[in-house]
Amino acid sequence: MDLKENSAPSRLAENKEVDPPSPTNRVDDQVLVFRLANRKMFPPGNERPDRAVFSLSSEDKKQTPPTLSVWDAAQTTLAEAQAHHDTTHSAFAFNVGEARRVSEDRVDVLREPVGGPGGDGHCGVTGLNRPPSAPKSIYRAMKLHLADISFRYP
Amino acid sequence: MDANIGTIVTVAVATVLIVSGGTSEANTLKIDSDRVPGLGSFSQADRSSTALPMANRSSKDWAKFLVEICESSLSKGRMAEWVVKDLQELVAGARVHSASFGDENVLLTWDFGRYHFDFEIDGSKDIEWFYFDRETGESDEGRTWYSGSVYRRQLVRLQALLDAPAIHSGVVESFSIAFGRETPSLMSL
Repeated sequence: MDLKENSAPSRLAENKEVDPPSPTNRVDDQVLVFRLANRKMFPPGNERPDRAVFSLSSEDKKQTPPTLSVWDAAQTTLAEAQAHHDTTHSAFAFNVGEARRVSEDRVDVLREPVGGPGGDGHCGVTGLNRPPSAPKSIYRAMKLHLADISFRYP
Repeated sequence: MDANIGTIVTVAVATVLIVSGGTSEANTLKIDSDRVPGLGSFSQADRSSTALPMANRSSKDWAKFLVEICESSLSKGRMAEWVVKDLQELVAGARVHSASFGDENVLLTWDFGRYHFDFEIDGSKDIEWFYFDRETGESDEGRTWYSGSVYRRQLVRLQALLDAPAIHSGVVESFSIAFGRETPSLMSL
């Protein structure tokens, strides 16, 4: 199973009605979001993921802006997210405010609702795509920090 | 003293050439072609200080996970094995703490709480490495496994994370040959 299944839902990319990012769809700091990850990316037994889980897939990079698909834990259950992606992947979670803090506000989390049960909880993490001119070390360190604040969910 | 290290990899044999001052020494690492690629060199870390909890990972889960990596990308699995074997030959105790397979790369991770070190294998012969000190924010990174200068830097970075008493005398000799006068400072890390 490849990461395309864990990318932002394809229906999101097809939906031209999705609002562009704006301050109004920013997720509150106190929100806990989770992301599904296959066992190759998030091996069984690991309590937290490696920084690789914050790397955008080819599909993720096609989004405007490029985003990593996550779910608001208060609005979407793990089962609903799994059903949406048609997987049984496990998940890791992190607090939105912490993500902003450790990334020095490079990273943001925006609401990107999709259809289906629990779809209102779908969100996208922005700021993970490294511009060609930016040093890799900054983004590697940032993703390491994000991995550090993440934990196996639930 | 200039130091150059090159690694020549064939299907069955990986050879590490250590060259210094016009002399050379070769350490030959045999790769068992009958073994499932990528399985042999990986093992669970037994360091209690590792920041990535390994206690809950059963050997069955670990083995299954590695098989999945190799099935996904034979070249990356083989490369990951060679990297680990080279490191284990040169730096005692350099067992991988964690490995994961992303969209494009295999990531081998060593994590000691304050310090982090990883190799990123993208399937080409180039390998990128990354070092990070969580306390000071110092980072370092490099590319190309086969480049002598980068090779030395990444080993020094990884060595800094490992316990000095774990260094085998043979490894120290290898570093002496490769890095000459820089070896004492390496040993003091």
